Amino acid sequence: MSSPTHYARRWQALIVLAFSLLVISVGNTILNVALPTLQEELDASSSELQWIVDSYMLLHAGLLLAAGTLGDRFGRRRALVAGLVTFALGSVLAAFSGSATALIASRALMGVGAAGIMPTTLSILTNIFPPEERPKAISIWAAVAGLGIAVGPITGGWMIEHLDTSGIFLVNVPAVLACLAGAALLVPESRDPGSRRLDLLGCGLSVAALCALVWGLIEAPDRGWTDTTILAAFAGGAAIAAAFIACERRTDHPMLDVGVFRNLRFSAASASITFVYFALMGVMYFQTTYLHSVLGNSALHAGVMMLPTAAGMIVAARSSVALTKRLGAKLVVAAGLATVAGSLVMTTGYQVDTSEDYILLTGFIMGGGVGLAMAPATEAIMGSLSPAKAGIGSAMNDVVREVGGTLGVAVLGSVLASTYASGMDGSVSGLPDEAAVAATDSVGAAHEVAAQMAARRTWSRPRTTRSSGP
Amino acid sequence: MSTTAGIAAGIALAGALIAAAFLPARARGRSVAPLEPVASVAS
Repeated sequence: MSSPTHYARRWQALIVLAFSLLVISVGNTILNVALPTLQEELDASSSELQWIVDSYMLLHAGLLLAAGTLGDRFGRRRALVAGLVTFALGSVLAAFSGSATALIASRALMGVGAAGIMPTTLSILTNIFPPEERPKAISIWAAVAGLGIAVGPITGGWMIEHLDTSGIFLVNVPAVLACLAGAALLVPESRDPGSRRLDLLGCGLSVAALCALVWGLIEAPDRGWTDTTILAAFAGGAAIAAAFIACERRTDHPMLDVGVFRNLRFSAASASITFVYFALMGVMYFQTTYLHSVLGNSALHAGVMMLPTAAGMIVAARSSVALTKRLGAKLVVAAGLATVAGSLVMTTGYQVDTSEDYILLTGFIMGGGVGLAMAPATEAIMGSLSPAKAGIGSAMNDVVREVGGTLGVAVLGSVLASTYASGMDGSVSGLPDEAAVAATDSVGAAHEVAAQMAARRTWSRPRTTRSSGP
Repeated sequence: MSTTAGIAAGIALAGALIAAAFLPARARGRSVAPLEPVASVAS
């Protein structure tokens, strides 16, 4: 197929790219609602349960830069197809996993596939749309990414209630097949025409640095931020990152031109995305707990409660194009982040009797702020690099999102856990030691302790009555 | 929970300040790098 034909079909190609992104976005968010069921079915420990989520995140984040540069070098559509096939294979293995360990390995494989898919969707988009259409295309791409926040939990919640747990993984297979067919028909191949030798050392160092840093972030809340292993992971990750930068500055064929960080547009946009994902993912993490454990919503209902956040993202992402043209990226991104901050201030008012309307409104405003900031910030990153480097630029955009999100969950999760534990100290003094420790661990565990105690009381009463009878 | 949300709000506000301070005012949805979309697409 000739390039003009591909150019004429660029909007159809965008549907394929956006749907591919949606597949991995849903693939991640759908799992959250299934975790309690998976824990029962696989008899998984809480550590294993955490690694079912984290093995994906670790491999995904660790391989992003390498996958982006491989796409630039060997072809972005090829990288997208390889990523989709790997993701589908991981999904099938996950569906038929008979143990927690097998599921952790399958999820890691899904993470490898997602690392191939995520950066290539944006890098292909950057290459098939002219500059004047690119902000609109990126806004659609960003809006679809937001859609996964609601689609995943709703689909997952429905499947858990009506079908089998394996369905949450197998649903990826027909979706991936549709993406593969669309990619073959509509997505053109593209690569960096100036690409020379592959920067293998840079690739290896980027993977090692990101894996060490992300592993530290994942494990820090459990092991403690001052734990020797955690400090070693951060120090090692930072040292390898420094070696990566030194290597990239010295080599004549760097995978990432680190000089790009001197470009304020690139650096400020990257920082904005990191901050917005720090706040968003951190808050999504504790909002899920709040909806489930504090308000007692079902998985499906909790998913439906996320819909306004996704709707806000979609509406605002579309509006951001026109606003950026009129006001400039500086004002729109700043206004978006300020809106997110405002919605988070509203979140501080959440109580056990907060009305659903208030929560839905807060979610809509938060989604609106994220949608407003994301598209112009992403466009600022992609516009700072030449289209030939779109793969590595897109990968950088994804890395700052992943690191920001992981950092948000780790830091805000730690803060939440410690403030909850200190707030519970006085309330568990009369409990047996084991029950007190469990109740101060999480709201969910406290519910279990309360339920067990209530059950024991109703069970003990008849015995007391009987023993005190004639 | 209010402490956690408060910290998140502070982080988002810091991001807003960084964007306001360092993003260029005139980057009005236009790419800095010139791009010929068709020419950059191989095959």
